[in-house]
Amino acid sequence: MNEALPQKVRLRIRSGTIPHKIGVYVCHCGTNIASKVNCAEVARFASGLKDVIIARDYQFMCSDPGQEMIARDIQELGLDRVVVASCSPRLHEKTFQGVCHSAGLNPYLFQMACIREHCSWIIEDSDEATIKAMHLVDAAVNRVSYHRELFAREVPVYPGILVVGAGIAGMQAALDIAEAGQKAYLVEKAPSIGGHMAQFDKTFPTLDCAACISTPKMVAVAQHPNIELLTYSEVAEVTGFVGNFHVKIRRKPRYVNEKLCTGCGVCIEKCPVKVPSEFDEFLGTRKAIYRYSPQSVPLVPVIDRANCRHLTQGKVSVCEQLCPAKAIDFNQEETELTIQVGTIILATGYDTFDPAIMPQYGFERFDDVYTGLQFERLNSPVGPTGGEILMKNGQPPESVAILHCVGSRDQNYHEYCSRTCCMYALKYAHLIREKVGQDVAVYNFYIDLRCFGKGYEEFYHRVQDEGVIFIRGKPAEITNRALCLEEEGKLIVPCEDTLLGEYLRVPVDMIILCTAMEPSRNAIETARIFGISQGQDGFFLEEHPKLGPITTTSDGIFLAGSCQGPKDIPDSVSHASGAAAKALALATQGWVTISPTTAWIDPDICSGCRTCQELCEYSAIDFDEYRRVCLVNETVCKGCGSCAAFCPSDAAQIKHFTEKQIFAEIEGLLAPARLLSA
Amino acid sequence: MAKTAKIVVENQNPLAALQGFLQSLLEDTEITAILVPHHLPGNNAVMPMLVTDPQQLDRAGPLAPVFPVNAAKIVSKLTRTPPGQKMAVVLRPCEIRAFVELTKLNQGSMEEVMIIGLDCLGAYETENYSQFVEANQGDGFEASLRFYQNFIEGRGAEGQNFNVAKACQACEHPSPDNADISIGLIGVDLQNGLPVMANTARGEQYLDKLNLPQTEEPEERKQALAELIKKRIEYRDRMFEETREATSSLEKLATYLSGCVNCYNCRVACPVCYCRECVFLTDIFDHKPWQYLGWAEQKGALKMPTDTLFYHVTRLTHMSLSCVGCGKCSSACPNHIPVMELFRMVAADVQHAFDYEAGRSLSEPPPLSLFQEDEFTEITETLE
Repeated sequence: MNEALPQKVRLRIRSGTIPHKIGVYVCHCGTNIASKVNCAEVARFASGLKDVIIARDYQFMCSDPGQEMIARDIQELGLDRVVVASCSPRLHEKTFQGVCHSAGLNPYLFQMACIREHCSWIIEDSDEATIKAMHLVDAAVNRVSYHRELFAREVPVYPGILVVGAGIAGMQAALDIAEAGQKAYLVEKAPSIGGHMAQFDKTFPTLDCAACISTPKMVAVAQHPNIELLTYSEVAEVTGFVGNFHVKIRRKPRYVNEKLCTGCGVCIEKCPVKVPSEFDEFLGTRKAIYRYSPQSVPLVPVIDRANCRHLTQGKVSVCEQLCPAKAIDFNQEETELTIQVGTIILATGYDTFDPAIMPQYGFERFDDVYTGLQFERLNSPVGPTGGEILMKNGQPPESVAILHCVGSRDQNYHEYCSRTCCMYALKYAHLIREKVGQDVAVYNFYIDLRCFGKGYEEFYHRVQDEGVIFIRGKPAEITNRALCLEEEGKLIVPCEDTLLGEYLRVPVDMIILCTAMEPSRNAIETARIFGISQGQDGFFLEEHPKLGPITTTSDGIFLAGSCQGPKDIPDSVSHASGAAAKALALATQGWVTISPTTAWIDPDICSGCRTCQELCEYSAIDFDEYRRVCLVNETVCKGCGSCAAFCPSDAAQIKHFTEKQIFAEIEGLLAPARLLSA
Repeated sequence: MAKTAKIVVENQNPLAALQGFLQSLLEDTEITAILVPHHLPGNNAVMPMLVTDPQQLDRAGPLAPVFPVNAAKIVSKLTRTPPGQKMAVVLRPCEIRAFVELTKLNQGSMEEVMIIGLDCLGAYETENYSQFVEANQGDGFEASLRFYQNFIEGRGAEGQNFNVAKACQACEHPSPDNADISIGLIGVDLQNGLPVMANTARGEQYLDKLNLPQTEEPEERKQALAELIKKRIEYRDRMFEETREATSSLEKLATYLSGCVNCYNCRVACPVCYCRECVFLTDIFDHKPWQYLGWAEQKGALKMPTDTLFYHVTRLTHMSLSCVGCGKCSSACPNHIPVMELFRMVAADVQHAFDYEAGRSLSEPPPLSLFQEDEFTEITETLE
């Protein structure tokens, strides 16, 4: 070698002339791969590829003997590159990188070829599958030659944990964290914590009172010294990365001084403005100064800016004049605070489907068509009717129809099952007959009854035995056009009973629509702020449907409760405790490793156009005014590749996904592969 | 801002009048340097010259029908970091539009430059210009005036057996709309002097200092411009049609570009190819002997040099949104590949798709610097 050449050039020559020692391992995955792909033939093909010195196939590469085989080859044959052709890298890339690491090979000198999900599972023809596997292996071998050693970094984790949303899931997570001795910041956008559960009256299947079990939790949250409660607040911006998030929180003005207010309620009593109550699902009214719910935590009222006549029209402020504690403060303004936390738990919950979108069900057109949540409020002792189940005319119903799956299991709206409706429908059926009278006819129109939880099936039998009528069929519409005398003045539910094969018309007084649980209305914005993804159904996407239902693809951000998908209370609580455990694990460990597969900008090539800076979703790129080049802050970079995809000169590259590596991979894919037998 | 002044023309010599105008800018305002095309002594080459001495402007040639380099790149060099002095630059409309693109890409700044634009009658390819000068007694100044006379007397831009460059014939931007000061040449009666229009506050501020007589923009100029643009658009659309036909398949495109020798002259000449190092010069395209041999073996025969089609398609991807159609790429090609025709055609489609026009406005961000979720829904929706 010519020593006079510059170092960079010499290295380049060397890397091209000294052959690598690549080992290729083709996994059968039992019959998952081997039933379609001729694994032995793929291994034989691999052994003929450039720089491959050993190629083997084996039943289960991820098993202990499989892993040992790779480790032994690394040590005995001196492999400097390893390719495993098996399942998706999402499943076992870490496993095999671990094998390399333990055998003394840098884990980034490993490449995985997915010949299960991308090959054996989706191809009918065995020869075709085998050839595709060869192409995929060729691509991986060609790519791995250009891999470089990379080293993960360890960064400290701030001990604080942010919990967003204070429904039952958020409260549970915050309490678990606080009980473990760590600090939790609980942010809730509503004026009170409690979430949807606070709206419920009884909970299935045990029929215990929701308030009796949730109010103590609300109080515990408010009183716990390790929980900092931030109600009427929203997260505006999140920067940073796992272990070190900076969260900007906007606190809306309550116009009531929380320190002075004694919660006496005189202001609410005297306020002259009445508006429909959100908490009562618009069945009742509240004042312009109001408590979100009767059990609000904190108990401090809040002034609704849009409806307060003092704030909108400058009228006399009755509340201000009558408040004995002088707590009303119209000078309050929105404030902002920034906190530093190590991890984040999202518990932003769900919203319910608006049935007005389905005009055939007459919601808002007929007086006595209610949503499930409205019925919860009708049933509540502190609701608009004081807990009496009454129609709009003030009379109790003589017959009620409960329609399941409104907006759920419906290809026009949501394909998924909302998982809670069957059970609350049964609960309503029971409560109606218990409160109004056992002679009330209650009809459940269902597609299937899904009573899968602990004690659920038993509850179903109990309600069946009580005499509730079950009709399998999806009603076509709700109408008030009577065809006979007994339908006069009633709401009629036309439906096919698919078990009897009969067409029915059921006249009733009241209808309850079991509306679907939907992603929260703010889900898109929330996903953007926290840099996480949504699934096709709009709920936040977990890292893995089975093995990672709590983690997200953003390290350090966890999901709790129904923001991840429809859940009932016990499932939400378990999910939340899981999320708390995940967050606590990082907080107590105190450090976390950060992937080295981040972007890097070559300052010798960068033209300083700053386009990458504009494209970076994570604000990870800074501009060096002196050198006029862009620089990547590797602690903030998530390695998404927006910068590299744009950069025309390729100054911006993602480590482990360089153009050289990707081009090599494409070339390998396009190279010819033939069956030996053919 | 719609202020219009007049440069008085004596002896039917607009060139001398323009030189005088530039001289007074150097002498009477805080402008300390002017970048302007200049007739080099010795031969008749015309090159941009950065002039600080007013006397040196006697060789300034803003009317010379040639521009061997798109000066946008030069202005970029002069303004990439704050120059600390006020400058004026005399540019063709395509150069101005390229500089607008470069400024948006942070490769230059308009902060301290005053842009002077002249109506553009088009320019010859460099070798044709030399012939044209030869035919005019070897005098570049005479040749420039002759070219202008020909043009305003309706004989068009034709010389003997050649015309202005194809890019110029297809250019629908003869008027320097986004210059600070634009000087009218087309449809102008020299008896009435040359109209000087301030298009920006800065332009007006400088114009005020020169105490030129006031005038109105002549109606004839607007008409003449409209006619010229109409003619050029017809030419352009015919060119697009022919080019579309000639490149309608991958095979045809490969044939179209088959003369490419990877000299990369086109991207060196391109004013909006702003990379410090072209990706085609990096190790990504530094292939190993065994790779060449492998490809040859796969295909049975491998055309060398490789990556030529890839290079042009990549360059189209990188810069067609900023292409201003100046045609310097074609001028630079040693093998006479009609690069401009292809790039202009693709650029027109791409810019139309993003409702963007290169060089139109400094306030329009380059489309690829924005992430818009609702963009091209007709494509993204079919993916779902």
